[in-house]
Amino acid sequence: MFRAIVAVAFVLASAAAFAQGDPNAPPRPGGGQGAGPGQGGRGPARAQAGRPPAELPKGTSVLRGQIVAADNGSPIRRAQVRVSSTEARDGRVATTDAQGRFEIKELVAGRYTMTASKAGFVSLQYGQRRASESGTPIELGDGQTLDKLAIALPRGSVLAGRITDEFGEPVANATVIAMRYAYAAGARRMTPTGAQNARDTTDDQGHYRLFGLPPGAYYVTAMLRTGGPEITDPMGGEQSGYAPTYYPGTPNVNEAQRVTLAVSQENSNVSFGLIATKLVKLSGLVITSQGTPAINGVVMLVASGGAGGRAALQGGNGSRVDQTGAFRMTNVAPGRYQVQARLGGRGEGELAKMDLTVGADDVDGLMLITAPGAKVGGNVVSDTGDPFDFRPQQLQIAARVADADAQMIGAGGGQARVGDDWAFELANLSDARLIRAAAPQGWTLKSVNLNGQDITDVPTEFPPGQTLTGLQVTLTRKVSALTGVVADDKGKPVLDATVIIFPADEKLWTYQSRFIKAARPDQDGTYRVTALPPNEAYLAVALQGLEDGQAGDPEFLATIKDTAAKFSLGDGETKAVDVKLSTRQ
Amino acid sequence: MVRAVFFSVSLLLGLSASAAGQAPQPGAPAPGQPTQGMQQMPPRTPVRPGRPGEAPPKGTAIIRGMVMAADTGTPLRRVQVRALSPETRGGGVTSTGADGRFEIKELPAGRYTVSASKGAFVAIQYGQKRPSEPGTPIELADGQIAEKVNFSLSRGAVIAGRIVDESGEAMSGVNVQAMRYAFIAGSRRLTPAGGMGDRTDDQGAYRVYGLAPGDYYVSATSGFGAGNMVMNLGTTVSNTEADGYAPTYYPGTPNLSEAQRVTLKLGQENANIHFTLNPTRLAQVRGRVLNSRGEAGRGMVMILPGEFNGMLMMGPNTTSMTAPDGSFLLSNVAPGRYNLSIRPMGMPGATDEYAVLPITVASDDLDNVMLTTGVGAIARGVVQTDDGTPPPFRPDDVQLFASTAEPMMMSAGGGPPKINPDYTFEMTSLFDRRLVRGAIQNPTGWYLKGVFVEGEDVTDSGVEFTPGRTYEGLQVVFSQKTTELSGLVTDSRGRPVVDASVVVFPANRERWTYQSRYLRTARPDTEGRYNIKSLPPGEDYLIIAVQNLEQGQGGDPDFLTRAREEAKSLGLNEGEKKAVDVKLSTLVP
Repeated sequence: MFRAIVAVAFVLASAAAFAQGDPNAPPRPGGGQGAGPGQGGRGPARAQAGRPPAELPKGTSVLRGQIVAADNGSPIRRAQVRVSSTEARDGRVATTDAQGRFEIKELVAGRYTMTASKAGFVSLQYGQRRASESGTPIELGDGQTLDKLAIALPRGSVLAGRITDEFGEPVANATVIAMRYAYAAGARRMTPTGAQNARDTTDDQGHYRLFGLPPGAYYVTAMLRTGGPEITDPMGGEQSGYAPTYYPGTPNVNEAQRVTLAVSQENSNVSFGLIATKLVKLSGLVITSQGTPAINGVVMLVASGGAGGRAALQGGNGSRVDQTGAFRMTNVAPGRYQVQARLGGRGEGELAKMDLTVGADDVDGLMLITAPGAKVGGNVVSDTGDPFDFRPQQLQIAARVADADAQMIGAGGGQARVGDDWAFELANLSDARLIRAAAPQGWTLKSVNLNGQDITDVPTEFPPGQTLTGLQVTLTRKVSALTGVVADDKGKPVLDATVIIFPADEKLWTYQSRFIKAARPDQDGTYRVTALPPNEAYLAVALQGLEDGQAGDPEFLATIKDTAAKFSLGDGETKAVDVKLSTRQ
Repeated sequence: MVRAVFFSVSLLLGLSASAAGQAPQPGAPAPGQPTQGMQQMPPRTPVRPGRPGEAPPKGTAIIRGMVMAADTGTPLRRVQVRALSPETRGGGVTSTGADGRFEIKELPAGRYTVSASKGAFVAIQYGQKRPSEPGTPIELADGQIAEKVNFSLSRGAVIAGRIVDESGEAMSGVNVQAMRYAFIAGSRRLTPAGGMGDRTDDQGAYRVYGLAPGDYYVSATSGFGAGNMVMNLGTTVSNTEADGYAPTYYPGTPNLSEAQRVTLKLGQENANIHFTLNPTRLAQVRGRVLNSRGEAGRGMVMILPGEFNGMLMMGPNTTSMTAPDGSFLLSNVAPGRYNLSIRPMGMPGATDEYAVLPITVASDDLDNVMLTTGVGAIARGVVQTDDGTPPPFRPDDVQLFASTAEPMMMSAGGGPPKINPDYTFEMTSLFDRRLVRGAIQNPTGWYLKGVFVEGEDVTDSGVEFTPGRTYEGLQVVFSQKTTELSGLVTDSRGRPVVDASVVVFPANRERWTYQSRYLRTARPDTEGRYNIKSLPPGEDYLIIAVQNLEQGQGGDPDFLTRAREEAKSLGLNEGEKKAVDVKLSTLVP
């Protein structure tokens, strides 16, 4: 029954997972846990999802503009225009009229990103020149009206073809996905293309059609899931099935062939055959830390390695642990996985993990011993000792997974609400964590101390099964702000550039680092970065053609370090640092 | 994840199962017996649902057969074949080899439903003659080998076409669904067919395949994808979007009564079902959530279609998180009837508050909608045996749930409670009138004899739960004195009939209710024998065997009224195993 319900409830549940920070939610490309370097750029609404909106803000500013087709300049009707500002916690959606025009009123002042989308076209941000790059933020003052905000959307490229079986007959109901390399959690990973129409299921003739794609290099993968999610299927599995197959017909991602699409290009010949493979069974035992069977625990199989987004795509493979502690999974394709066992609820749960390479044979006798997650309690204070001017409910404390790979395969993140006494408890923690606070505007995280020791930027593994106290999260109103103009060598402002601010100290070039931020200049050529922690030696570089998320890549930072301008930033300091456009490509 | 299902949107359960290419299993909840909560059990047949992950019981019986294409007679490979015995929870799944043959081994003795499905073909059960009729069960003894369990699969019919907007431009991302009438909860209702339908591509084209022959209605719904829902979570929506597209039926009407039927023959392709979506005014729904203490309520407000029309997935459903003052805003709501509901955030708890409010949206915005939540009722009770002896089954093997007594109703709560070691339990968040139902998973042979509150029998009347109240002393009594009715179905010349449905129903028409324990339908097996277990004793029953009975039609009062004239009466005592042969009636359902 559970299976069927999941199918029905999926839409709701996925929304709920966003809202609740569900640790079981599939990892999203890009880390998904919030404002890591360069993650805030695309999908403006995501910057806000996760918290209910504060009192619906009503301002006095207005944005107006027009959305047209890039190829012939004709207006696009019923395009969706989204604006959002993380700072101002405001966001709206509007639809264009027959002339392609839109108007969004009653906005509060702030720095907005604006995105236009229309099915069949490539979604673009205002000022965005290239796919996988951010656009130009719009700085909007109180009472200001900005009009003539134009976005020209290119028609999307199309990938289409036919999926067949090993006998050349069409395969119906196979899922086909366009994947591409993109920066996620500080490294280039093959991830599913975010666009809604970048996945399709084949029809009875085996045909699929992926459309609205931005130009670029793609890898196409097709998979056919037989049976249902094993989580409710008590029956034995099939002996053979199809491995996830990449164009031109290989189960091996390294042999996948790239399909390059120019703007608005259609390639309808991306046809290939699914590779039949033996499917194996896994079985084993899950034992709790007490030595008892982990009754009613859940075992998940998560694809690891290479393709970061794969796990989410395939929905994983899951099984419930029976009364004797045994579990079994069927229909497992060969590959590298991590086996994860979870027991109990979020507060009192236990967890075990095991890396596993599955070959052609059934795997029996796996043994996982779960350990309870750690609990850590603490409280929130202000640096001056003054009372807060917001309510505890507006604050959320998160224990973010500090290791990018653990994050990519879904280690999950502990989140806690803050009680009326400003105390919180983070539960069920595994892996090394960084403690972060999502504070209302005007406040930022100053430090995190565990019994006097500063762990603000120190990934901390809390001892399994233990309950620690004494975590102190200090917030400050001293929010630093860095602004400046990006100019070319003739001193002219440049809009089409990305400013990267990062510390000279390479030890701080970590995943989820607070010290690395990327920003785009607004319509006046001014960039703006807030809430950087104080540091003696920051570096600033302005580049063109930077991919989203690339600023979190330590290897990349090393290559631009020498071209950077150096400056210091004090506690809560507001500083102007102009940045020359680097000539580096 | 689990939260969502505490609201009854469960009508889609069976439907999505058939969408997954499985023929409906008798015994498993048939498409559309709407029940409450998640771990629901079929209201009529005692099925051991089995614990997820638990190894299925192993036996020595074998089913063998072959699958062919109906049109060419050639063997079909990679057809998924499933055998399932709901009672013993035994079963297996396999796929055919290159020669179209399959074998399912190690089956425990039992009565099996066998089904075959493959991509673009119409999934069928063994012995199934017509699309909306069940198949023939196969009775297997220990060590028995059932040979020649053969299927011939027909290529599914196809509906395809193109969706354009009011100016004739292709509309992409539109969800198109083929729907047909089927019996659900005792009456004919429009339900989705052909899986989850299709989404139009950049050329506006869609293709819904794998359809059984029959009459279809085609609906198109635009612009309310999953993406929008996520967006709405943190984003307020500006009111510049004054119009949009309401769900539209072929040939281009928002009214189901004006929808045009598309009739498909076996394997037929109709690729000309093109139609236009016309914009309509979309409304906003604004309001506040207040909890039982008069404070601002918090949670996620959802708007769901007010009556089931099979479009829950694709329909104009949207959500809004409440602001700290309890206010919410839902945008882009097409005119129609809806249920507003609220889902608390965080893990489920006994103090969670729920509300369901039916609303009607015309073309104007709805303001000041008050959604007042309540904690629901709590029911405490104990599981007992009818002879007063301590239960020989373990508390973990007892499954209870409180299902809504009215069909097609949306209501919160009712999920299965944990049974304590002393067999007591506590159900929380109960609303509306509920029927308490349950089963013993292990061992088999137990049935729910009755449910009592302070001596009063509420098994069939249910309990009208008053929010906030605590109900003590619920007794849920199980008995091993299970009845069993079996016999042979024969034609006028006394020959066994396989292709028939046996309906057993109470003479008292007040018991012809939704979720009635007294109403059962079964198919004879390959020998012409039917078998019905666990009917409540002490009732005047009627029995009839008919052909061409649609799935679910056995609960239709119209049919039962006509069947009453032709049916044969029988009594059934507690624990009685009765053999009743039935002559095939000429009644046309």
